[in-house]
Amino acid sequence: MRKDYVRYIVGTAVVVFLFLFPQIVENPYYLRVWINTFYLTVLTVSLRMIMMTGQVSIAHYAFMGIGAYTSALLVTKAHWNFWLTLPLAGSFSAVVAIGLGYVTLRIKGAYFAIATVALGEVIRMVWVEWKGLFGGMNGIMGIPPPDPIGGWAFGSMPSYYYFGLILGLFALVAFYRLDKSRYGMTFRSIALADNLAEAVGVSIMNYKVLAFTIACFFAGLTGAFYSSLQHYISPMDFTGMESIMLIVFLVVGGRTGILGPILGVAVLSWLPVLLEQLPRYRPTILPIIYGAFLLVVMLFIPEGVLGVPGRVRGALARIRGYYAPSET
Amino acid sequence: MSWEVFFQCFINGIMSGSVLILVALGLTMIFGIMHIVNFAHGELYMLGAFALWIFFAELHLPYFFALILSMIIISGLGMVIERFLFKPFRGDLAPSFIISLGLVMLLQTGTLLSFGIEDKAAPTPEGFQGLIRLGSAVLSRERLFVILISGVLMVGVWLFIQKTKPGQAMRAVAQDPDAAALQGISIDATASVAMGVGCALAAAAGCLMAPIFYVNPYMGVAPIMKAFVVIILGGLGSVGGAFIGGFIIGFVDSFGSTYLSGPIAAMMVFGVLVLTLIFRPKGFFGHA
Repeated sequence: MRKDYVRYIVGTAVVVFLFLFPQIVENPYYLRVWINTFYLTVLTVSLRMIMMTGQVSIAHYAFMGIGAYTSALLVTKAHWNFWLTLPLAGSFSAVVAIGLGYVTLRIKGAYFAIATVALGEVIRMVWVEWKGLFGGMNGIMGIPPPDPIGGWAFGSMPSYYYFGLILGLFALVAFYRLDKSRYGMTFRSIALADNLAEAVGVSIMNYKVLAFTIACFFAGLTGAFYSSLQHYISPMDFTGMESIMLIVFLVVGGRTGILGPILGVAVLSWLPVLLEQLPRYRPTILPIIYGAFLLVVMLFIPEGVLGVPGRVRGALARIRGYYAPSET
Repeated sequence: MSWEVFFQCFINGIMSGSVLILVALGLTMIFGIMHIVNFAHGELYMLGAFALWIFFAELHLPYFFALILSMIIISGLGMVIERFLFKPFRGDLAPSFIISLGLVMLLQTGTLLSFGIEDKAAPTPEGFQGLIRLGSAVLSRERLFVILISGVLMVGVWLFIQKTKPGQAMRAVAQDPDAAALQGISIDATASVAMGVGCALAAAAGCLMAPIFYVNPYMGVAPIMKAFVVIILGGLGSVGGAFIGGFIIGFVDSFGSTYLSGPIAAMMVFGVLVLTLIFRPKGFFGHA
């Protein structure tokens, strides 16, 4: 009980802090880092949903791209209201995910991972090759900021900040509820023992596709957000390497709870900001640091940063047990 | 659609197929024995090409000496990677996959920081420059050279796996690790040998391609993707499958990019992959 209280208080404090942040700090650079943290959190938490069923998808950024292109095309070519395209972007990405999910989710493990690399590349090649609609390698330029709602105008950094924050919180609540629901349990059962789950009557295929589709819906929403934030998208924004970064966030943070991906994204998005304070730092070195993080975490703390407090507690208990005279 | 174009496509297909086979053989051996999907195999190919560039283009050592030196160094590096990074995750697909992604980042960026982003050119080895004319078809000697050397290496690997003790140990471990261990075969040593041989082959492939394409830190990405398609087509862990898959993908790539276009050919390669996975997930020679 007591622990729950602590959790609620800390959670509320963090959310209040995040809502007040743009009022306190005006530096647009820090706001931008938070915005990246928000949308990367949505992507990572949704990717975790796919990984809960035991599958690793490297096409997640491609599905984000589907949402981004849907929204960008509707806004720039058909002059739709952005807020109308936002759910459409998510839905279209989800529809594509249902179709491709039933085809590719028949395969498991390494085969699926490799197939999604190929899938992501094929999706990107459609954007590259279909120049008339998608603009080829040049992508789509001049995407306007979201239309104003009532008195709220969009386009400034703080407005994107709040948009991103609300999107992130919405995704977190949705995935937290899913995680705790029967669906979450079913997804986990598939990862643990799919044949057993099937034997007790779980339709593995449908549940896998469901997880994949929900995750891709959120990836599509993020894509729409991203296109309006960047004002420009191209096939180079949605490569497999970006998807791999999401896996880095997830592994470094920890996969067991929903807090892991949040922690992973936050730590690894703010790490470069800290590193920039160093005199001889160059951004090109960042992948080495991420790669090293990945190896160290996998080798020494496979449960992620989230597992560090538990480990420290365990180690302390062991030391205390060693030095304290035994009572019995 | 003249026969000359067809013939050149055919030779190009054999060339890219043989290089792919060299890369794919290592991947498939590592998978067969350790059940690890090594995404960083393309980076070992890239490092092999860089080693050749250093020894051959910069230090002016003889080509074959540079080739063998590069193979030895990369195979040593591979064994170190196997011992310290892959060994704890043997048989565990997802963690080993993530480890190899970390390695990709480290090796790519490490090379980028050490050697810079600009493309490096390695010259064609002496005696293999120029063209051969067969009627109206023109063939470059260096491509025939690539086919020749990779052919020699492929035969060597085949003999190694079929005839030698370590090769037989590799087949035994791939078939049944427990039974192999009961016969006194050291699984650790066999894994080291597989990784070493696989990485030497990847390095050789990199060295062969270095004079034809440029050498840069990202050159390993495209071949590794195709090599994955090859081993899935042939069946993960199947050496024979890697040979046949390699030539199929080599031909699809070469004819597709000549008669259609580069990106369409790439899409066809991935299309072959997706179709194989859907209709015959264990590949055409797989036994998993």
